[in-house]
Amino acid sequence: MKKNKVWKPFFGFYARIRIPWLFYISAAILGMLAAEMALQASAFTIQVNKGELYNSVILGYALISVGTALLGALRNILSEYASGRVTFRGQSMLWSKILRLWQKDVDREGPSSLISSVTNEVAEASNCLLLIFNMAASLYAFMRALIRLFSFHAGLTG
Amino acid sequence: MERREEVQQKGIMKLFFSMLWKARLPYLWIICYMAAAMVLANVGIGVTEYTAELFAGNVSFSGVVLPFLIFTLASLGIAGVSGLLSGFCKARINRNLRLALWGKIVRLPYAFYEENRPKELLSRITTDVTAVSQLIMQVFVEIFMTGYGTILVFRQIYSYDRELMLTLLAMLPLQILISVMAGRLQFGLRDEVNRRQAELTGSVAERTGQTMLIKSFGTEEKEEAAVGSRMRGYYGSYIRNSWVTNLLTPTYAIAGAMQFIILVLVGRRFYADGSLSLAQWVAYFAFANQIINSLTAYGGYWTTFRASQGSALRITKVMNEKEEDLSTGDLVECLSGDIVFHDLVFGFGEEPLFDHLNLTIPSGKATAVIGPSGSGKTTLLNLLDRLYEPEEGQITIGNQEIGHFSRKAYRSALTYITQEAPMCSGSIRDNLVFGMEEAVSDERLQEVCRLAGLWEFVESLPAGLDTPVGEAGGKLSGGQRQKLAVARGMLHPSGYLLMDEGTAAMDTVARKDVWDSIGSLMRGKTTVYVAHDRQSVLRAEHIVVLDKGRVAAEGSPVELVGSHPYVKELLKEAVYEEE
Repeated sequence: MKKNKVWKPFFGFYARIRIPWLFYISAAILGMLAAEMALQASAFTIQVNKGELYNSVILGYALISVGTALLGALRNILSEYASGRVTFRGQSMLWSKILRLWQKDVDREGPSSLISSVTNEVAEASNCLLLIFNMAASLYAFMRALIRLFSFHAGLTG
Repeated sequence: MERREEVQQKGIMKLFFSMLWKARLPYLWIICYMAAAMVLANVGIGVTEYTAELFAGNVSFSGVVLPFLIFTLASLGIAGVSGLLSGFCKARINRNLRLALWGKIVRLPYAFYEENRPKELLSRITTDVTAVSQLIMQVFVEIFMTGYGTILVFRQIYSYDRELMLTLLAMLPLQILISVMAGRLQFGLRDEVNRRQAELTGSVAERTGQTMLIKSFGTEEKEEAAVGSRMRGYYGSYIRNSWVTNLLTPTYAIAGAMQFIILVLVGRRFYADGSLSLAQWVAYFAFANQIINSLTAYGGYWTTFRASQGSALRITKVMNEKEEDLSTGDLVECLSGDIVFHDLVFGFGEEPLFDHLNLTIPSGKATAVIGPSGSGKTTLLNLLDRLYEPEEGQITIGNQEIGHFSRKAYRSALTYITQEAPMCSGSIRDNLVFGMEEAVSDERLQEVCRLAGLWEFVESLPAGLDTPVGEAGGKLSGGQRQKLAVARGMLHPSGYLLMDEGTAAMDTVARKDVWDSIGSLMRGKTTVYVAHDRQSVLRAEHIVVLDKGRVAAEGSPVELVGSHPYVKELLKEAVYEEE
């Protein structure tokens, strides 16, 4: 019963605003692509450290580095669009609600608490969603790294 | 024009460093952090060298593996300590800056709050202080530390080959160029984000405190749209900043890739002709990457420096505002006599409100200051309490110029009950004893509450004097707040009581009781009050009628009722009733 009291309003907040799912999902997919690229980069790093300094290795390493950075930048932009939109929509919804609260409720909550809700807490709520999608991308990267380690030597993953 | 701005910037930077000096930064902690970071940089060289040996296939336990383990563990340990110290430094800088800034804000003259938007000061203390501590720890200190680490790496590479080191040095200009361009782009945008956030906070704060007014006038849609436009402004600047910040990452990556190609092409030649062993090549490659990272970090420092400049300038501006001098001046030993305004000039714009005002308020009497709105009644009391300073002329009490007293001592010698009956969140008791240095007994609190007509209400509350009043006294009615303000004023007995519509929100019976109490407490003492209601004005022994900053009339109520239309209108019914 108590758990419901905590989780229901939590999910209720997200149910009331339009979430830009496409941005969040695209950012997570780009995160997974970036993980794939990082795995490719590791192959070039091994060659460079072994002194295999062929032109193809140098160029491949440089291109992979730039590609990873480009993917990372695009992913961050999409994530920030998503967070920014959720924050903006959440703030607008909350402000509209505050303006229409009973005066008694405004007095009970206190102006400072209401200000903080609009300016800080909504931003925290939008970051929470981003965290879930980032976790998915990180988990994918972790699993792919384990598989790569397994391909080197089965004992390394244990 | 640009030259003038440059000079202003230089001036501001000087003031900024002087402000940092005043804020008492935790220098000892910063030195400890720097010492730890320097040791870490030296240990890091060892870690890279032994890692290179391992990569090259040298696995001698005593010669490579053991030292590698020792250096790696030491590096991890020192990195932990250095991170901890850095955290301490940032937390202490934030704390000290906030204390200094808050100390400054509470000492600013009253006029500062009227001319600026006080709600935006919230962002000065929260967001801007964090940006400045970031500027100190992640720019000023890190520039030095990265410089030290870079010199160590250059020295190490020099030990391999002088030409290799020069190749690395040749890459500096490109990185500097990118950093400067990035810094220029980001400065405006990050500053805009901070500014827009402060505007949004200020805008929400201002309206949240006025919800009753919004509801009464049915302006919900209008206020929703007004704050909505601030939210859109903040969102727009946030997204623009995101584009620029994130597109800089691939720009740095492209520069890094170019540098990598040059480094490897140069290193490959040495490796191919046998001047470098495989272990040295791996170490060189690792060091070269460290240098690229350091140069990129320098770019970041420049960007952070430019981006934090806005916050630094805003804080510096507040810190350099002239504050009220509370302590300089004579102590108030005996304040008695008439209050006299001599040729006083004061105004808020180009036209003075009081243009050579001459006025005498008699000692030992209750004087009501009346007049239409905007005639200068509240300003007169504020001048008397030295919240404003006269532009010309002076105010004397019993032939002593009030400007000669220390503000703190002078204000303690007067009691001022202001129009708004301001409250702090806390209990009724907290608000009653606000500003009292000595302990006050419950009996005394009960006594002043009775005199102000508040005790019946306090007694009816389960927590009595310890009942919370809510934020800004929101849980009390307007009349209750005024009674509490009057009771608070009565706890500070003095020979002079200033009251600005202090009973306006009370009902007729409560107002009568409060005036009876004031009359008995202030018998033979001087009371100057602003009032608009007949009941309060009739308590006066002397009346001053102000009109557009001039004394339109003065005298006793009976004298004035027939001589001035404003007084006639206000008092005629009451005087007739009395007769």
